[in-house]
Amino acid sequence: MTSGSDPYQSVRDELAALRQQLTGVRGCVIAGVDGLLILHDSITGFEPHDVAALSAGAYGISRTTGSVLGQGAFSEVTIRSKDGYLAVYAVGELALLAVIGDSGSNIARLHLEARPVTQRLAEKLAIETSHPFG
Amino acid sequence: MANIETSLKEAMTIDGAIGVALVDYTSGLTLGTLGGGTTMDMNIAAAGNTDVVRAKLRTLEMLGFSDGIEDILITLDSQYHLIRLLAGSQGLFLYLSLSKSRANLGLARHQLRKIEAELEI
Repeated sequence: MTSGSDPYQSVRDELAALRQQLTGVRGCVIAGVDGLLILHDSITGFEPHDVAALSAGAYGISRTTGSVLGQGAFSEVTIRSKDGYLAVYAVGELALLAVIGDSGSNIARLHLEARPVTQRLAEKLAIETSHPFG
Repeated sequence: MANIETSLKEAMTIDGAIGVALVDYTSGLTLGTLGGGTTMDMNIAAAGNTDVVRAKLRTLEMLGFSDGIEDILITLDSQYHLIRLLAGSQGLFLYLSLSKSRANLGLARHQLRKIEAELEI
């Protein structure tokens, strides 16, 4: 955690780094598994609250799938549309990281870069949920 | 004509071969990998080298060349990395890493060309 007025600055830095390192990333959203927005990073052209809700929808069907097939807890889901991607990753057990990419995204690299990010985010958000205003 | 498995196995028989991957550079995902051992994660190599291929394709486009890429050679201190794009513009490439001390680059390039020509997806 960096000391500053924004308690989520280090989380925002992680999202900004993800966007800067990878071409084709249009923006990121962190949402609760209930579909409520926690925070977002430079999303233009999308309503972050909608992306948060969509991510929870994708998480819902994925979690059910994992459960029915006996394949364990949810870890990630990628939706590839004709002109882009939505990748949703588990951040701990209660939050999701959604990354929106255009059709030129290197999705394999996104997965490789996003996995360690979700681990760090889980640690950071765990600290913040114990905050009286978290 | 050979399938993916056979082609990857054949690529691993090239002298000095360390690892091989067939990669879709529109997504960076692999269609198959072989070798690599504990030192080299072929999926990471595939995703990273997707950016290499894309950068070169973009450069050619900016230069206004209508030429296609046949192959790309990257020489490390101890390895050769050979990237060979599949003809027919399917958005795929073969990625082969070779030990510099054990490989014959000319022969390896020739063999990889043959494997690529016979590969059917």
